[in-house]
Amino acid sequence: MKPRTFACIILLAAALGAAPARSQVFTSGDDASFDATGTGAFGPLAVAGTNNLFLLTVTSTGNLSAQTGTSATTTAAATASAGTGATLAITPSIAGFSYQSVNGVTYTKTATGLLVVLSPAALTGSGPLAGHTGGLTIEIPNASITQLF
Amino acid sequence: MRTPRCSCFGLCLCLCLCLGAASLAAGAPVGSQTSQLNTFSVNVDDFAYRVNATAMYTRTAGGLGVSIPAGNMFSVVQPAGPQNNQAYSVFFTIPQDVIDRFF
Repeated sequence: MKPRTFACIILLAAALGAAPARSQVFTSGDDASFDATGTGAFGPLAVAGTNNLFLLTVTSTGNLSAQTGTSATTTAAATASAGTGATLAITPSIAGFSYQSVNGVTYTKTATGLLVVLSPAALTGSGPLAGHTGGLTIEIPNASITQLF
Repeated sequence: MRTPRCSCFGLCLCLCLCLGAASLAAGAPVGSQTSQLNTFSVNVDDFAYRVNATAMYTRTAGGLGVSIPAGNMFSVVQPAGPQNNQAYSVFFTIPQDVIDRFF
């Protein structure tokens, strides 16, 4: 085998291995039905209100995930998929006082990064906001993550 | 005809290339950091604030460490909430399995 041919095969294999998860965004007027064959449970897609968005994603591991939404924010999340995780412990500091909280968390892959939504939870600590609730929403850019992982 | 020294050099070159490719696939080593300006939302009680601060991201053994060392909370709506213009910082770690799932 010529070296050049060998290099081409290596490059092709690398490209296939790095292939991103495929996704299909259904927009208004599209036929939103699909054939969910295979193993494993798949939750129902509920229809509520107008301008519903359904995002079905085949993950890199071959799983099918779905997300629905009615907001423009979800529209921008073109590559979003269902989140994972239950809680996340954080150590916020507000106005010079340190607190701890354990928040419910949802991770969502968006087109531009990883959206982390921490639902409001009680702050603990010795500051004046102890017992009050705190929440956080932050999107970590793709570049910052891919640079490290 | 190749000399033994030439073959040895070729072997070393291959080894370096392989190691380079392996480290590239695995990403940066644990402890690596990168920072970027970030604007995010904070809720305290029923008040919504926006914070503009430089976030430090660190690859840890357990995942992605996110550290916001300093930033000011500005009320999104008026009248301003009681924590308007107060300092905010936070630290948490996103588990490795979440990173693996999405990236």
